[in-house]
Amino acid sequence: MEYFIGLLNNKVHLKYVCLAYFISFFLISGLVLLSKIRTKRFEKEHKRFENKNEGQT
Amino acid sequence: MKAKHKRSIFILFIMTFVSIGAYILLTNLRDNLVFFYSPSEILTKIPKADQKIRVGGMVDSNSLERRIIEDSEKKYEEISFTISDLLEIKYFGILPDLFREGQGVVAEGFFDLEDRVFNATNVLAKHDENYMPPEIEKTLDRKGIEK
Amino acid sequence: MFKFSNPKRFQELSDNVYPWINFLAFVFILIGLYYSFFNSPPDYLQGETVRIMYIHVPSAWLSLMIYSSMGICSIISLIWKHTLADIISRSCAPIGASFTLVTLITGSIWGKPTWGTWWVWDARLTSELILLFIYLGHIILSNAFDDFRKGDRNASILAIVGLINLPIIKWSVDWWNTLHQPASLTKFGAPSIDSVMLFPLIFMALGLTFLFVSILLDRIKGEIYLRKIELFKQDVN
Repeated sequence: MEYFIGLLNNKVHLKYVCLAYFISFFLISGLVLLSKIRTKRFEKEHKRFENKNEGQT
Repeated sequence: MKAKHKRSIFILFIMTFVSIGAYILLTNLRDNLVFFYSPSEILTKIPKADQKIRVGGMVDSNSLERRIIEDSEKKYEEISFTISDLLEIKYFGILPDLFREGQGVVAEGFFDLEDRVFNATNVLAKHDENYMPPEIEKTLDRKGIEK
Repeated sequence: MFKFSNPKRFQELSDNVYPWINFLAFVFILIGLYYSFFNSPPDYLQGETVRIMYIHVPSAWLSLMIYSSMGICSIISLIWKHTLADIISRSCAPIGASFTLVTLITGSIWGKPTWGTWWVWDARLTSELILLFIYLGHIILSNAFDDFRKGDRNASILAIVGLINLPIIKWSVDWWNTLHQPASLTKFGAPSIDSVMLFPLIFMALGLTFLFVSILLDRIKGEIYLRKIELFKQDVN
């Protein structure tokens, strides 16, 4: 905990550390979300095609 | 010959070709790929006076001097230090926080042929690969162990 | 449909391990973050900015590791024409590009207070930037053709050519004078990082690696669906 307080008290470095972690979090969670949305979209589209195919045969 | 073997040879061919190409390119571009020169390199192959170059080395201990130069309008702080092996660097400006004697530094600027002084326009601190907490650094200092 | 028999079996396996991978990624990243903010000291020189290293260095490792797997998959795909290898390398590229971007941005934010500059054109930074461009080129090239098999083939060749960049990134700090410091962790010799700072680094590296695998499995799933859709469309035509 004392290390964390040390970080909070370091006015110069705190903003660099926060900025680095925020940007990393933003980019990585963006990637996770986009991947999930993409997979869900293809899953739905695939289901639609499968149903259509069954209807034909 | 099977198609699979043909494709393997094709890949091997690409890889050797690219490796040889990269090797030739990188060895020939060596002078452009180094980010900085050592002081001895600068003193032996002396660069042109108007050529901006970078020089790097360790800041010699007890070599840092700050002098205030006053001119009619403004005050300037002239910073000078030497880097190993013995190249004097003069700089007007703000040193990075991590600038320490005994630490690495890269200075960007012009080499003065007459005074044999390097006039820096920018100074960057170079960090080494050692990471340790402050307490350990202090004990190392007390024992006088080379880090 | 036997063409996808192998990816199908892969998908079953992937569905089974996916929750566990997610769990491990979550736990390790949590421990890693705890160590990097609450349980590790500042550095004797850099001070608190050393904490940026705990996200920067694992991302950099991953950017290289993901590219290596992409390169291996590309070789397999070109020689044995294995569909799953194509799917994996196609799924790797955006993840690798993201981690490379994280590496470059966090490195830049660390560089400002440490070196005194956001960016320099030294060999390490430039070769890592080239890695980002190769990743982006791979993504663009693999999607540039109407026939996805053509895209796979061309992107595979690009990935194999780009493999040459990996040793250049790795050893750039030893081959040339760079502003970037050499590696602290090497196969031989003791690490030049104090052990209290090694903990957050290792936990973050483990956590981010599992996170990579998790995203990869998810993207592979989507890619398999996409290929089935393409085949459906081709059947209709």
